[in-house]
Amino acid sequence: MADPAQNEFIQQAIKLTQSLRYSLSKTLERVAHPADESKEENEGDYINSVKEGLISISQEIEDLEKLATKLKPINGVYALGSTLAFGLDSSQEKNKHYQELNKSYRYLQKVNIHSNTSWQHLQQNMGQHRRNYVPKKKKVHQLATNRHENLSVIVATVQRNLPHTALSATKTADNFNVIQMTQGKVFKAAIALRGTNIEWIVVKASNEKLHNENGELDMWGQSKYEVFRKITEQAEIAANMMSANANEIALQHLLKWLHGYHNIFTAKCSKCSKHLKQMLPPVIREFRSNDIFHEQCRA
Amino acid sequence: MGVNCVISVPMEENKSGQYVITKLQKKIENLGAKKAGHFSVDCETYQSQIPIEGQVKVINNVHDTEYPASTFSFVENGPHLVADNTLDMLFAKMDSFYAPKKNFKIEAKGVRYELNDFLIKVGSVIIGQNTSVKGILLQIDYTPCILYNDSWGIITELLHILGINPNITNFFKSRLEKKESSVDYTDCAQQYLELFNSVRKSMTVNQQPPGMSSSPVMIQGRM
Ligand SMILES: [Zn+2]
Repeated sequence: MADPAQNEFIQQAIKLTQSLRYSLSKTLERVAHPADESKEENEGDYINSVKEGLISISQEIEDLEKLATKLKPINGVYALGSTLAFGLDSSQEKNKHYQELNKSYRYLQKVNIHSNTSWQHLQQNMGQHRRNYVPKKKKVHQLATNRHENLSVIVATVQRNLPHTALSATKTADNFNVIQMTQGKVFKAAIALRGTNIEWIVVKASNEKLHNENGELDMWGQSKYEVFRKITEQAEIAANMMSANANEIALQHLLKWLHGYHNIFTAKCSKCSKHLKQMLPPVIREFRSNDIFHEQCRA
Repeated sequence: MGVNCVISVPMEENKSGQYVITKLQKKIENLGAKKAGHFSVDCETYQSQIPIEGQVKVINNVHDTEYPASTFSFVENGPHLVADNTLDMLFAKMDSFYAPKKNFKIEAKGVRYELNDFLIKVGSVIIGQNTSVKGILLQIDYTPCILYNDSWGIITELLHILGINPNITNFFKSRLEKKESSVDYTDCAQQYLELFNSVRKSMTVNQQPPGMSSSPVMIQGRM
C-alpha cells in the first residue's frame, strides 16, 4: 500500500476524474441551455459544440481507463482506510485516501446514472445526426448472480440461533440484496450485498431510521451518534476482512458478530472494567474471541 | 431523544449557589464538553377556582426549551397531556375556572453542553420574581440509548466522574424497576416537576420558625 508510484497513480486518477467531471458538467450545461441569446447560431453549430463536448468526455474516459490499468489490483485483504488500523492504533492521517476514494466512488456512481440518462435523451433528440457520432460500446455493468433465495436461507439459519434479533432479507430497486437486523431497542443495522460480497454496511441507533422519506434504504447515511459511527467503522473493518473469502459461512459469522453489540450500553470493558473511556462505551467486539474492549484498551 | 436523568445537586455549606454551579461547569468543561446554548424549563401552577368533586384541583404546565412548541400539562395525581403551546392562551382565557398561583412560577435555567453523545444541562432553580438560587439541577441525556435499564450504568459512571451522588427521582426509579422500559417525550418534564415540587416543599419548611416544622425535616434540594 505504501508504494509511492501507486499513490502517484491514484492522485492522477483523482485529478483526471475531476477534469472529467468538469467537461461533463460543461457539456450537460450546454445541452440544458441550447438557446444562447447573445450569439445567434444555427442548430448545426449547437450540435457540433455538444459533439465536441462528448468527444472530449470519451477521450477523458479513455485516459482514465488507461490509467486504471496501471493501478495494481490488491490481492487478499483490500487495505482501504480503516483496515490499515485493524490491530493497530488508528490514526486519521493514514486514512485520507479512504475519504477521497469514497467521495469519488459516490461521484462516479452518479456520473454513471446521469450519463446513461443523458445518452438516452441525446439518442431521441439528435435523430438523424446520430450517424455522425459513433458511440463507444456501452459497457455492461456486471451484476453478480442473484442469490436472493440463498440469502433467505442464511438469514433463516442465523435467525434460529438469535431468537431475540429480528432479521430480514430484502431486495432494493437497484438490485442490492439487503439484510436488515434489529436488535431489540438497542440498535439496527443494514448490510447491502451483491451475491455474498458486502458492498456497504451501517449500524444506527434504535431511534434512527435506515430509510429515507421515500422509503428507500439510505445508502450513504451515517448515524448521528458517535458510538454507532464507531461501531459502523468496526463493521466495515470486519466486512473488509471477510471480503478476502466471501462465502455464506463468513456472512453468518458476521451476523453473529454484529449481534455481539446487543450489550453495547451495558457491557463493561474486559480490560479496564469501566463503561466509559473518552465518553464512549467499549465499541470493540473481537472477531474471534468476542472479547469486549474500548478502542484504547485493546492490547 | 435518548434516556434523560434529572437530579438535584446538593448546595454546599457557606457557599453560594453560583459557586457550586461554576465548580460543576468547570468539571464538565474539563471532560471536553462544548457549550451548546442555554436552556430553561419552567412550570406554571394553576388551581381550580371552584372545587371539583369536593377538591381543589391543581394543574402544572411545564415548558421545556428543548421542545419550544409544546406545553406539557400535568393534572396533580392525575393524567397528563402534551399540547401545542397555544394551550397557554387557552388557560389565560379560563382564569375564572383555573387561575395561576401567584409567585409560584418556578424555573430552572442555565447552560447546555454537548459531550460526545451526552447532552448535559446545569441549571439554577428560581421561584417567582426572586432571583436567588433555590436549588441546582443537573440533567444528563444519553442520546443514543432509549432503554432506562441499559443507560443506567453509563449515566451513573458519568455522575461518578462528576463527583455527584445519583439521587434519582421516584419517577426515574419507577422506570428502572420496569424491565425494557423505554423513554417517552414527557419523561423529562415529569422529572423536573417532581424536583420542582420538592424545592417548593423545602422552601415552605425553611420558612417555618425552628422547631415548628413537622417531622421528618426535608433536606433542602433533596427528595
Ligand atoms: Zn477499557
